Amino acid sequence: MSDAAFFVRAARESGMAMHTQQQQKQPTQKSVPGGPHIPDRAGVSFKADHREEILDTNPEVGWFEVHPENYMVAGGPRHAMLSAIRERYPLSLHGVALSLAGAEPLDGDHLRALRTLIDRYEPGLVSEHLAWSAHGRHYFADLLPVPLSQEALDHVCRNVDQTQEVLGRQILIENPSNYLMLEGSDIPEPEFLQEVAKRTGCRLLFDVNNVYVSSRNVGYDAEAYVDSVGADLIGEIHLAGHAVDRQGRETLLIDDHGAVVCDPVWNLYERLIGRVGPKPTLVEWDTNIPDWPTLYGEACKADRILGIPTPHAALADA
Amino acid sequence: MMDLQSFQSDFAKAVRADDPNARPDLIDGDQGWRFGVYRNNFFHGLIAQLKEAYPVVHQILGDEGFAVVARGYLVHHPPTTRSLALFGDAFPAYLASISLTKDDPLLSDMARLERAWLEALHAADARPLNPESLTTLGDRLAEARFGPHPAARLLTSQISVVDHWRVRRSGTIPPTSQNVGTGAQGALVTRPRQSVQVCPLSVPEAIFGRNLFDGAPVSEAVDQAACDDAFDITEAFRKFLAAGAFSSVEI
Repeated sequence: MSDAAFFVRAARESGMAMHTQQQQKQPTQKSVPGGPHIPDRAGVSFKADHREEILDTNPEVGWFEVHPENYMVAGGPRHAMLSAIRERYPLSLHGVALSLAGAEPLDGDHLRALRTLIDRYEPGLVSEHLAWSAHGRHYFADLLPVPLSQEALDHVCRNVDQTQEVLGRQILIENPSNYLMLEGSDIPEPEFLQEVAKRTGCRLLFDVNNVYVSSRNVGYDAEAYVDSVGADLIGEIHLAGHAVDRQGRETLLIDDHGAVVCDPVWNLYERLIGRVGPKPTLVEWDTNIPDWPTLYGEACKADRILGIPTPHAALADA
Repeated sequence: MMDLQSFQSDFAKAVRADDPNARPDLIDGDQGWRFGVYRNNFFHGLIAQLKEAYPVVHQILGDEGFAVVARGYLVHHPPTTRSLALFGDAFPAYLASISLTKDDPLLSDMARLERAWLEALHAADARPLNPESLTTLGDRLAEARFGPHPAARLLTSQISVVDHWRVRRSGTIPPTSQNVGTGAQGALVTRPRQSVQVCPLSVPEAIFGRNLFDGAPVSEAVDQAACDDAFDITEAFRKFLAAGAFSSVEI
């Protein structure tokens, strides 16, 4: 089946109307179905290194998040592991490869693979990034930047619409970490993202660390950014650590998800929660994976800010 | 202002260019070093992915040698699928083709074995054929055809690749005449449940297995393998069945 035919069929099967170009332009908020509930408390990235500790001790963690691309295999221990986690905890799928801001058409095979995982694991949330990661048949395994222009806005909205149609559910879009000031980027990022949400009915994944990293790298006003996004549009929050790269007199913060969350990010997070109320909050950790108590401690810190009693407060204070 | 398509073509070309100083046209000189973050993510991220997929090749080449070879591989074979779980399928052939590594068959054969291991790890789950089922076949065994288990992989090497693999994986370095055989060897890689197994084979056993995997009846597979006097069909079946190499049998 061609990709186009597949998209049409998937849309029909998922009970969603295909939207005309004109309908997409309407600034009213669309309604698209979400998934089973993810609680308004802390979750953490699920890492294979922590598998035994998690399955042996059933820690008090609200939910887990994984990159679906790592599970796009036919069988084997990865699926066995994720199934065991899913039996005990709610799950969120956080994609990195959809290339929603890509100039080229979405990859139908990839969308189908994502749909298969969603059908199998019934995640509470499905999210992606405001970024592109593929071009000319090649995949770059990275979140590449896009100038925030009117052309890009129309384009991202079309891709989000198509994705939600194929998946038959709502997705969340995450604000990126910025390293470059791009010519032609004339729509402020929070405005751009909120417009995508209004037009497509998607919601936003608010990454506090990315806002902080961008504020330091390209001069965003982090507090103004935190204050500017509508509470109803935020479906999930991310917290993570970053690396500091010093080159001569210049410093660049690199969003490597490889350290504890820094104090300024915790402060921004408290400010955000104070305004929008409790939201599902993920502590992301993807490189230099720590021992489980360290990651769990970060989740407990987030839970305390969310007003959730933490069972191992002493541990979290360590 | 550039349109989205031109911007991304220009950017993509510079990210994966061989020249470490490559920059997109629209990134001005002052921001050049910032652009390096994306090149770094692309090369370092994917080299790390290849290291994970080919741990013994990495061990043999060392960090620096592996990085040089992997970088060349990325320039010529960037990923084309969005999942990287099975990235690096052309790496063994690449090692066999470039001047730096082509004269050392251990490298490309080790890479083929490690590739088979990775494919077995992620292959579809299936129940392996019960060894007892062989006894029920009786005289009809000669006509039987065995369906390969989805995770089963076979290869042959002019060197004792499984011995080298075992020694390297156990951390006993360097390989000696005590722990590594000389001469050709076959390898049967399987995953009957959740753990991948690697079983050394004689070359006739590997030929026998290859014929069975390709759908030949047992009698024909034996003919292909038995040009070597050392071939023992009972021992061959014992190895294949114990390893969970088949998922079905039919007459």
